[in-house]
Amino acid sequence: MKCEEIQSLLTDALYDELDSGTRLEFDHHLAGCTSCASSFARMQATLTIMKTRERSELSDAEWEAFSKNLQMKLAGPGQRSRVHRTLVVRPAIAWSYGIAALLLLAVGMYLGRTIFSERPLPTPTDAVSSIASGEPSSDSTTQLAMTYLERSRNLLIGVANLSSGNQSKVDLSRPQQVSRRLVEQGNVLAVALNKPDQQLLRQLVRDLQIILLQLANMETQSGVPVVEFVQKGMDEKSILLKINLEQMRAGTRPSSGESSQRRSAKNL
Amino acid sequence: MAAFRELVERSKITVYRMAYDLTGNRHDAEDLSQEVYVRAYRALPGFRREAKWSTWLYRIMMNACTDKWRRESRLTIEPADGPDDFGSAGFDHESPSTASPHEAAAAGLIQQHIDNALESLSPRERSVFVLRHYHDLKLKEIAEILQIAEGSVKTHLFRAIKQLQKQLAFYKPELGLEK
Repeated sequence: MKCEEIQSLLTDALYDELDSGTRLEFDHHLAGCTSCASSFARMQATLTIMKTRERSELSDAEWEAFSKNLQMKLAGPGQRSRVHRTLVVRPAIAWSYGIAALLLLAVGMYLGRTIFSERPLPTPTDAVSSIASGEPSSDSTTQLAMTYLERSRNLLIGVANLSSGNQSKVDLSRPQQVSRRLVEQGNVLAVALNKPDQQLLRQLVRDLQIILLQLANMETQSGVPVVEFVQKGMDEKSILLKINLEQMRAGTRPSSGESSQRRSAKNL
Repeated sequence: MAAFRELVERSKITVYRMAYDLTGNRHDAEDLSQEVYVRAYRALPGFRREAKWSTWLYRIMMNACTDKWRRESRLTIEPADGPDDFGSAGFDHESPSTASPHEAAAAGLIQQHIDNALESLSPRERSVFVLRHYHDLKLKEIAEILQIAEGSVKTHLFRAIKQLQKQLAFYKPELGLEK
C-alpha cells in the first residue's frame, strides 16, 4: 500500500472498520513508515485526550426541577409561576441556594485576599468588601471578573505592542509571571461565574486563560514568535472586542479606544 | 401521558448528556433537553413503531440543536439569558472534589482546553464526534440519525479529529509525540 492509500484508511483503522486483510496491510505499512505511523499515533493521542473529558451532571434536586418544568411545558402555559413558587420553598433547593451563596462568599474572599490585593485596581476592593459585608451577589463576582478582564487586557496589549519596539531584546519574564498568576486566578473565577447570565463572561475568562497559558509556557528567549502568537490568539477569539463589550455591559468600561490601550500598555 | 413520562424518566440522563456534549454548558443542555421532549411529545402520534425510539429521539435532538445553532449564528453575540423559571441559577455549582487545589486547577485547565477544542468544531463535525465518541453510536447509526451517507460520517469524523489535534497540539510532549 502507498502512503496516500493509508491516509485514506486512517479513520476506518481508528474505528476498526477495516477487514482483516486490509488491516494487516495497514499495520505492515505503518511498521515501515514513520510518517504514516506518526499520523496515526497523533490521531489516537488526540482521542485519548478527548476521552478524559468530564461532564457536569445534574443533582437529584435539579432533576426534580427538570421533571417538574417539563411537566409544565407539556401541560401548556399558565401553570409555571405556581410550580416555581413551590420549588423555591423546597428545602433541598433552599440548601442548594445556601451552599451556592457560601461558595460565592468564600471564592470572593479568597480572590480579594490572595490575588487582587497584590495589585489593587479600583473595582475589586469595593467588590470584596461588599461580599465580606455579607451581601454575596453575582454583581460582586462580575466586578471581580471585570478587574480580571482589565488586567488580562493590559497584559495582552502590552505584549502585543512589543512587536513595534525592540524585537531583539524582548524580556517576557515579567509578562509570563503575571500571565501565570492570571491563569490561576481564572480557575477560581470560572468557578464563581456560575450563573446563566454569566456564561459569556465565563467563556471569555476561559478563552483568556488559553492565551495566557500559552504565553506563560512560551520560550522566553524568542520574544517575537510569542508576540505574534499572542496577537494571533487575540485576533482569532476577538478577545479585545469581547472584553470591551463585557465591560460596557457591566458599565465599567473606563475610556474609549486608543488612549486606554496606550495606558494599558504602560501599566505593564 | 403516563407512558410518555416513563419514557422521559428512562431516557432523560442520556438526553441531557447528549445535549450537554452538543452545547457545552448546563444551562443550554437543560433547555435543549426540555425542547427535545416537548417536540417528541408533539410528534408522538407520528412515531412509527418500526423505528427505534432512541434513534427517533436523537434525530429530534439533532434537529432541535441545529435550530439552536442557526438561531445563534444569526447573533454575533447573544444577549445573556435570565434564569429560567425553575431557577437553575441557584444549582449551577461545581461538583465537590477531593483533589488538591493545584491538581484541581490543572485538571480544570485540561477540561477547558478540551471544551474549547470541541467548540472549535463545526456543528456537523461536533455532532458526529459527540455521537461516536461520547455515546458509542456506530457509524451507520450516526448516518441514520443525521440522515447523511456513512461515508460523510467518516469524512466529518476525520476532519473533526484533525481539528481537535490542531487545537490540542501543545499536549504533544505529555503524550510523547514531540519530535
